[in-house]
Amino acid sequence: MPSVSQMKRSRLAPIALTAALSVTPGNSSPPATPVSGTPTYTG
Amino acid sequence: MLALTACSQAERNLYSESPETLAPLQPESPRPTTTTLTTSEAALTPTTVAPATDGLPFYVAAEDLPGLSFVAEAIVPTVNVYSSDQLVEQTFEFANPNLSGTPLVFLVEDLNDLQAIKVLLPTRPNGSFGWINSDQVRLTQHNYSIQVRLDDFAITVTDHEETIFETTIGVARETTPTPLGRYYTTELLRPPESDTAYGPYAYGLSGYSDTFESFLGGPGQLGIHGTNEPWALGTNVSSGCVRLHNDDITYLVETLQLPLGVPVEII
Repeated sequence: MPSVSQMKRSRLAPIALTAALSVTPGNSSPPATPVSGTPTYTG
Repeated sequence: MLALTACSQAERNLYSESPETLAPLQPESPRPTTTTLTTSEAALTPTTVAPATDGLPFYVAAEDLPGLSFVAEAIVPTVNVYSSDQLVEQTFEFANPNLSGTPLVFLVEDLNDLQAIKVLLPTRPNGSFGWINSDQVRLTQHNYSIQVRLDDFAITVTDHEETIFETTIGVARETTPTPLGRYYTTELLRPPESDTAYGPYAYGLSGYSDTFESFLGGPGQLGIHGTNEPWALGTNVSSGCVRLHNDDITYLVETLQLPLGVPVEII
């Protein structure tokens, strides 16, 4: 029978990780995709 | 043509008078292979149960730490921004995609809290920040950064804090200075014609001119782009933007394939 602390770890850890899992590891930001358009930047 | 007129100064050929031209550096190694884990895959990955990295609520491999940035990409039509990590008082909202049709991204400034993420905002005043709900974004990470040194007429791109590209740029005139600060790339535009003042590509930045409240019908946004006046590189020529040779901006886009959300430090 797992202890309470073990149960908390086993049950809470996945919850705490849920948000973190949305971070994809490594160099995960995709290359910027060019959008056709006329810039209005301060040239 | 309006853009050309507004962004040009007298066509003095100063190229030969410019400071020592910086030769572009070639990257020593190709871009690392992108690794993307699904939630279920990530749950099985040992790194997710490793001790959290200092300053982060989760583990990041040591080799991923140098120059590490997190990018929050919107997954909802409107992202709400709050004044604190309590996510109570809303201060801004941003449409996704943005006006150009680009997915809305924020540069993450603080990731201590899994629910409330502190981000740099693409709005005036420059340097504005706020907190967003992590439920409204997905996070990715990269190790790129850009440094623009106005006095040196130079731009440097780093990956994992190692310089992978450096070249000469055209910068703002004294009367229309580029505001110094920390920004990030928010969008990448491909102008219909590549021979205009913006060249073949133009990155939009999260910062804005202190001189122009509007510019060519836009909000006075800063950018990093190509040019149709390559002879003016290495001089004070622009109205606030950073100009690169068309070959160089093309290199950033097509070869380095920089993502959005790359921090840009202008000093």
